[in-house]
Amino acid sequence: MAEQHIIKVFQEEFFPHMEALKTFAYHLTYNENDAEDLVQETYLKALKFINSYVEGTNSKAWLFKILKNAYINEYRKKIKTPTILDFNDPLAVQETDMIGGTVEINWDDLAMSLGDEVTLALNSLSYEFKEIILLCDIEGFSYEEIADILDVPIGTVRSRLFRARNELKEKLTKYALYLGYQDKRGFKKNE
Amino acid sequence: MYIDGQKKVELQDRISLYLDHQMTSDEESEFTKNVSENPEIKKWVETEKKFKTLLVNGILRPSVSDELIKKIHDNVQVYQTSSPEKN
Repeated sequence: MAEQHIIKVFQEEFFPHMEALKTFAYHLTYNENDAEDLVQETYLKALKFINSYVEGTNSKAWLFKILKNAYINEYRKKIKTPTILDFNDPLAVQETDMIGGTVEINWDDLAMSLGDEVTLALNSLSYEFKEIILLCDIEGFSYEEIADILDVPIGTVRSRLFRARNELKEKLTKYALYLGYQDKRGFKKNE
Repeated sequence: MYIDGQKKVELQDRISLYLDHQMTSDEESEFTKNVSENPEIKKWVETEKKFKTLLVNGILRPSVSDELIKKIHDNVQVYQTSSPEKN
């Protein structure tokens, strides 16, 4: 890429994704400072490999792929093991609390009662499940883009996303029951 | 309407494809027609949509510090001025 285009490309195509990259990095590292270091590293690598980027193509996916690789190859080892957030134990909701193993949750109602619990529940998922939910549900990447970012087939994206969402729903459902959520069938925890 | 286990999994997969905008326009038309004819499926789609909204609105999005913005801008400037092509 011609040298005079570099700043233009950064300003017009790369910088607008800084906040999204920070959110992704934050949920991978659990730490604000590590997240900022990872974002900075991502932009440094983008600068280093700028010649492999084609102007006007999918800059967001390109940057997310760099960030994901930087995290796996370098940061995952450096960053201290995150505190394991056991989202199940404190909630102490038994499976038998859920009639037939399923509870219909009105996510609108639950949203009113939730603060950081969505973030905590997300962060309690495995790395693979967390990243796929962040890429699809939070950042809105297509399955094809996610497959490219993660270097996995589209079928893997679909099945992983399916399992990740179900696990997240299960965790939030348990939390809803812990809050004393009552579904439309008149069933409530501790009844 | 009773939906058995396997069909439930298939339907959940279709709903995901629909809400993630991964269907072709023909598939989407067929699916929305199917949804409009089945109140139970329609309710399920609405529930899944609300779950996605809960995630999008509930997730913590820390802001980017001014310091980071400055560092990144400086890095690009330094690269420009120290680039071998320019010298």
